[in-house]
Amino acid sequence: MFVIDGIQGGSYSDINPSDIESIEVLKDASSTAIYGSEGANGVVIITTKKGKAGKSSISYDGYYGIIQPEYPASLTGDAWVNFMREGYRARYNLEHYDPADDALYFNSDILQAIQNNEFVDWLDLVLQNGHQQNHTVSFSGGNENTKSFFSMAYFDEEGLIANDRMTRYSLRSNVDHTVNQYISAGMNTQVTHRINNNRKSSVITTAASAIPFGTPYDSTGRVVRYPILNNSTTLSPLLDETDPYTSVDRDMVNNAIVKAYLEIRPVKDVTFRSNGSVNLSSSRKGQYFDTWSQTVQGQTNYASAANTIYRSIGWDNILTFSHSVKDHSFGATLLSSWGKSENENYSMTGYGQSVPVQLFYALSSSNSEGRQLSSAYAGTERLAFGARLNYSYQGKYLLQATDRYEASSILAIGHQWHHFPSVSGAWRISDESFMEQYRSTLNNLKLRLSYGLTGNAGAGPYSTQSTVVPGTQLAFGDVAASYYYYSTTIGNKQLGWEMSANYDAGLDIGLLDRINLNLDVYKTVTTDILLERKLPSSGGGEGFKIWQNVGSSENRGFEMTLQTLNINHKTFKWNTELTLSYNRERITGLVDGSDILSGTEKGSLLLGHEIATYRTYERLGIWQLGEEAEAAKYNCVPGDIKIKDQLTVDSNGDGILDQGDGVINSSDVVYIGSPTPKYLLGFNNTFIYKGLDLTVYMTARWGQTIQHEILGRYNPGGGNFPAYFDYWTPENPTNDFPRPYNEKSFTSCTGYMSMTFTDGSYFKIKTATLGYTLPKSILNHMHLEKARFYFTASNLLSFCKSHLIKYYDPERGGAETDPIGKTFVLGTNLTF
Amino acid sequence: MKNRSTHLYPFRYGILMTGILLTGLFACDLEEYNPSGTTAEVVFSTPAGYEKLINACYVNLRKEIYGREDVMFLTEGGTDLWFNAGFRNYNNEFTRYINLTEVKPTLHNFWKRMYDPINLCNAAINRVEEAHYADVNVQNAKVAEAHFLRAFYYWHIVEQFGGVTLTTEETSGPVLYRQRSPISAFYKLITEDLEFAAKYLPVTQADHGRACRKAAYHLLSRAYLTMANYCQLPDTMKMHLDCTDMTADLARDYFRKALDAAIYLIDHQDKLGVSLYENYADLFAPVNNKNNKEALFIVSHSTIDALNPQKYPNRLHMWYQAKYDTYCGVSLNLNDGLADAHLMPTHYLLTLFNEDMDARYYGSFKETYRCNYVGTGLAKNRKWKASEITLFKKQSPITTNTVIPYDSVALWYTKKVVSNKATRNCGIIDIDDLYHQYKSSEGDVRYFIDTTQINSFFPSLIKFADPDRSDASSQAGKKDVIVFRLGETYLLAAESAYGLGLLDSAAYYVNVLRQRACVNPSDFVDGRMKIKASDITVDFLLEERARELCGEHMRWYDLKRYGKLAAQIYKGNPDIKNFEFKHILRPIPQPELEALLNREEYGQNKGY
Repeated sequence: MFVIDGIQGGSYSDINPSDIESIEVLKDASSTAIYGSEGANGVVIITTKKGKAGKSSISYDGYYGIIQPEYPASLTGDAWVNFMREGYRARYNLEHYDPADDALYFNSDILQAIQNNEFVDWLDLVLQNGHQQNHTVSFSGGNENTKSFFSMAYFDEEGLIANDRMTRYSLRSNVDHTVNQYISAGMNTQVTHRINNNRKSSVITTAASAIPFGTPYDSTGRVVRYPILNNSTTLSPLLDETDPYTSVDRDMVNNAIVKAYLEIRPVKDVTFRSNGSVNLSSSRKGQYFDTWSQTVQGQTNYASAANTIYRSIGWDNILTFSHSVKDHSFGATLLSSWGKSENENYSMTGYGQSVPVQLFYALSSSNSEGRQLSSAYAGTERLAFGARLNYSYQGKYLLQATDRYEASSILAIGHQWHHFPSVSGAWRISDESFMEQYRSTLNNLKLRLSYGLTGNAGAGPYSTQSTVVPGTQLAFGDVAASYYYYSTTIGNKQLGWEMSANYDAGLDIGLLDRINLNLDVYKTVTTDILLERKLPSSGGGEGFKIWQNVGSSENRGFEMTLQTLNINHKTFKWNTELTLSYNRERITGLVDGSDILSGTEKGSLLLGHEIATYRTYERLGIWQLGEEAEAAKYNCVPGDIKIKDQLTVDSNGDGILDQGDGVINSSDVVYIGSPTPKYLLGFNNTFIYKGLDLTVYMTARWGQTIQHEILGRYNPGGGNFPAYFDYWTPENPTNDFPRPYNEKSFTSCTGYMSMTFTDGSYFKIKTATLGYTLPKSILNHMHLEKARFYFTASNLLSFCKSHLIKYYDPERGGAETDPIGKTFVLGTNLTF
Repeated sequence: MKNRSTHLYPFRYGILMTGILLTGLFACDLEEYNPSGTTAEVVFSTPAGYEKLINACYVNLRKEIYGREDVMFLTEGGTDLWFNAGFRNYNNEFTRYINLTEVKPTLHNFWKRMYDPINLCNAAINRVEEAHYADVNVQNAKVAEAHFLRAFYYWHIVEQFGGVTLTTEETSGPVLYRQRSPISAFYKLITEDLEFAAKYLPVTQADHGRACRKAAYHLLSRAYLTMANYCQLPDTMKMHLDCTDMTADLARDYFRKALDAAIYLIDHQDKLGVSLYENYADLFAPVNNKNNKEALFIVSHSTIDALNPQKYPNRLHMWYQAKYDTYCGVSLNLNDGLADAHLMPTHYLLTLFNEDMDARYYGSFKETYRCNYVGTGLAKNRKWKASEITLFKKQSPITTNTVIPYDSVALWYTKKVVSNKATRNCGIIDIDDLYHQYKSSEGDVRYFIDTTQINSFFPSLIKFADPDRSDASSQAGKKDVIVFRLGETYLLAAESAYGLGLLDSAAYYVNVLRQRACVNPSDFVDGRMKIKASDITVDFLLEERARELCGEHMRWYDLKRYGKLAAQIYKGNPDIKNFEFKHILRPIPQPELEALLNREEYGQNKGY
């Protein structure tokens, strides 16, 4: 959860990064307790820039850069031809394939294109270099009583595929005013206007799997609808680039966040603060898909416009008392917090528009049949009261106790309110007199202990209600008929809070004024985990869903942050920051007493494993020559995917399962991994030499399994797929991909889904920045206070443990759409 | 004094603010406001709202079942009639019974897409009293649709999966335990539902595709006939199906009821608004699709894209169509259809027909394609390509200089044996090219599909042809799917009469169809199209059903109810080598079992 300028909620993505003054992350339960359920998974406190008294300044931040796509290239040339030959060889059961027989197997047009070397790289035609630029001008200034900060920013990014673009304008104004010694007030306003042009993201996959021949453009430069040789059914991957109106999907988002506070200090030691916030957002999604677009593919064109109005208001009141008597400091806080969010949707769709260029601005010109209308409302409300006490003796012994009593409208009545207490203590050992002799080397030694209970009510609204919803798109003949059916979610009248008890012990160590080490060991016990589960589909609804408090889990781990100042010379400085964390998650109990199985690869809850798991066949590789007899038992031949026949049979009655059941079926579906990593690593190095600075940031996620979707694009039957895939042939006994077999689809290979899961551990150099700050002597001549120029390269290099992941930035997490590109940016920060 | 007052005012204010929050809002329930969601009790409390629930019961028929491939593979695949087209491996689980296990997603899709509307039908049937109809007859006519549809969905479930979950209650909470019901209990509910529907469904409906009385009678006849067939199955099969309670002595009564329902339909054609076409070919002519006088129940797809719940409403047109485009000057065109065959006819099916006297062959299959090449300049005429000469094994005088004339038959994939095929100016694949004769291990003559490229060229079933698509390459067919038709009613009557030993009656009903099927009326004589009472056997009836009904989502069920799956597969489909006894039931989809807490007790179907 984000706390932006002291107020909970809001979206990080709409903040202009140049406006941010500081970011702080809170993790342990005692510090997040005051933020309630929304902060249960940690709190990120973002503070935006404020004006400073007495000094006015103007600054400009800007950068421009390019983004290079990174995506595996598909087969072309001889590699493609050889692959096809292997496919024919297998399908027609040939001992050897004689290239002289190509005419018997290859389509004649394709054969001619091969001979003329007319290969087309569809991926290359679809992918492009992206661009991004950002310009921010900000003003800051003020006097004793009033401080203000204003900024204006423009951001523009053109993506890796044509017609994929985002433009954002943002304005910010932060004003703080001190009325007198008792009262101060302030207001932060952020307004953003964003336009997104979206291209159908599957186009990359479409291009990567298209046969590498054809005529992408005709003689006039126009996109050819059916460009693939000898194929009058496969549409061009470039179809959506035919005309500017062919495929239009445009979001316009306007978002205003206004936060105001009033702070009153009526008497010494007492502060009363009231925060109000309003977030208003309106967005419009406008779409027009022409008859010959990838979305519509020859059906009737349609246009739709959908408006969403979102509003969220919040009001927090905080009364704080703090008092010190000699070495004793006391503090007490009372707070109340209330918030309400509402979302309204209105959408309309019309078919058969006669003038495409009108896009979605002339829906009344659509056919009167089949128009679709919808409107919807969803709202949630929360309310909380809290109290906190703290005590400190000489800053050496620190104690804090908090309780928060909170309710969420999402939960069932009778289960809405819950107490969330927490306590924490710290002992600054280095301040003890017996430590005085070591203080020159051991600057800081602090022991921290905390316990807290946090809650999570993160179900969807109306999870406690069973409803019926209207359906459209039904007709008897050509006469439309409407209907009502059961919503896919069945209400749960018992739905309550998910609770996490967090135990944390930490040690902060400071050495030689150069080394800072923070160590934390923690354990979190979560009970009444709130998840949506699927009911047996024999009950209807194609498997109704229900939100339920399904079980409990335990997380154990440690976190370490090591900051060192390695070299601190007058002209040369070298800093490092290393963060390392280890986490082990497991489900300790489930409501039914047994695993909750989802029926698919994802979403099963398995005792003893992580909450997010993958469950499928265990892939052993490929059946090899010499294994014919064994393979035949499973209806396989060498070249087929080899799946492990799990030990499910006790052959000698000793109570130990020692044999497979001889068939690959659901008893062979097992836990194969989790996308939750065991280790996370961050390593930052900063070098400063005179005006030059160099920062290199490296990161790693280790011990995770990902679903690398590109691996599912192997096509043994033809078409195309990434060239680096190593497939089996009698001469190439690989264990990566099965034997090509003309016209056989990958989905008809038993266990093919298991092929997409692989070890997702990686290490990557995330960013490297080289900067130069002009020296004061030059700046004075130019009436500049600060001037820095920099070059940043992002997503430069990555190393994956699995050889099956290549030409792909693993930080994307396995999805094949929207790949992460390498970014190279030139920028400047100027302050006048 | 002045200082003191400025102290107090804000102090009081602060206390007041906190006080308001602490007392005014303390621990109240936060009621959820949900104006756009509403409950069943509200919506279904008027006839108008209730009828929207009835409409919902039809959605999946259009969206997920008839017109999609799953139901085709599950009802026609893996039988004596169809090979996996082009020796491909697509859906081998159903076409060849290879690796047919509970994890095959098609099974779960079929299962859930049936149980979804069953839940809605249950709701409609149990909530009908709450709809406050003023006229009980109107009420009965409406709820009768739900009874009919529930019977239809359960019939698919019980035939595919056997005695599984039979529920008549709508789901209103987390049901995590299920019990099995025997097949007899399914058929008890199915026949009760259909008796109700046959009594109360309107004779005609204003809405195209809404269930009418004739549909209920037809399905009722088929349901009773199926029960009678089950009663006569061998004991080993009954044990496997867990239907030993369907004893042989009950068969007679069921045959009688099946015959009664069929006769009622045959005798009241005028009243019920149905009749046979005079020519078999008219039956599946695209022009007659949307207003088919022989249809008893159809799944209607709209010609207006926006009204269809599925983007490609009916794709059956392409899944039986052989590859023809790009060869010998025939390019893709609407009349010849889009070629993406999943199923191709077996030698057995093609040779069931005597095409010279039985019009049902050319009424069901297409063999020829005409050259539609129009060129210019030097390429004005379409000449043979070298690769085509190799492929079709052409000899002199056919060379790469031979012109294939415009609009001549350029491709001919035929069930006949063609003698001079190497020299004719036409690409010819005859039945000897396509199928190779061999002797099975038992010494029987069998015909196996050619495993080279020519196995993509075969006579194509045209019952689902759709030349009215928007574009030759469009998959989006919008033809209705005829689910039951009067032609089958005659066969149900014949089978029921045969079951009762009324062989003359059985021959009579079969002959009605065979007379209609004559190429020349003069063929309707003994020894040719006309059959005698003594000709009728179970095998003959199954052959006749194949000739009349091949491709109409029925074959697997027909073979199953006669206990003939194994025998007919051996006879007609040597490509199937993995059929086992257990395959008379499909495995229960794994996601269903995984979601049940009593999955051990419920159990998988035997053998899986």
